[in-house]
Amino acid sequence: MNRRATLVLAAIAAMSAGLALPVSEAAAQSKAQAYYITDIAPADPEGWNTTYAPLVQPTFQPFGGHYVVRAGKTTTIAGDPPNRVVVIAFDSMEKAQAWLDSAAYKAILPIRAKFLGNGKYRAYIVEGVSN
Amino acid sequence: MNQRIALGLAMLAGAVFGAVSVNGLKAQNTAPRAYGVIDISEITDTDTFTKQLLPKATPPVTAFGGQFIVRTENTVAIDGTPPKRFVVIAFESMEKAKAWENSAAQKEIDALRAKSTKSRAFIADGAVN
Repeated sequence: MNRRATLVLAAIAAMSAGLALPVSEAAAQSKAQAYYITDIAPADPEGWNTTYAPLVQPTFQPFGGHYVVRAGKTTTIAGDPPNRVVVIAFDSMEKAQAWLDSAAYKAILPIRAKFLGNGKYRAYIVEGVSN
Repeated sequence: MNQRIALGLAMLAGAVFGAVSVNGLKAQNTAPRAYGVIDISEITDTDTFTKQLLPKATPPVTAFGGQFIVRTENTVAIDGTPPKRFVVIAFESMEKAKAWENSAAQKEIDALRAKSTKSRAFIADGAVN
């Protein structure tokens, strides 16, 4: 019996070693429950892409945000086609709001305004599906 | 000696099992994804939307491995008017997302949505992480 128990324990220990990290990673991902969504047509797309866009990620990373969609290619299904779509995932509505309220994000808003000009834009936070 | 071999084999089997799981999860996390986005600004025909569209909306998504990651009327405006209802569906790839969109079942949903809402829909390439 001892031998069997040892065997089982050894197998469990080895599996745990392999599994522990990814399982917690997966759990952390399934908690991503808020998304910042924006659709922007900046007046100066070139300046926006080269000067403003690279400044954004360092401002939301401290709040656990990560890009889900980063102005990639889009295919229209129905209605008006989108412009420049960005989706950033956060663990909660509070985390997303905390990023928007942060000094670091507010500091880059004048640069954003400069390249946005009179371009069209929308931005909102939506709640993710609970898992 | 037999016991040692058995122990070693059990540990090896466990480690292999763990490692395979790790790779499976990593593959899921890093594959280029695509997202179906449905942006509804107004529901103009609640009856059609709730009684005809909603009960049929999920099967075409799951048939192509899609997963609803946003399906909400809980939206907070930052700039401009927020949507009334917003839906984001994650797919493993652009091919899967397009197969979903081109399916007969989804075309029926699209027709019901056009009839009952003011909305737009598109597929977006996922960010490379």
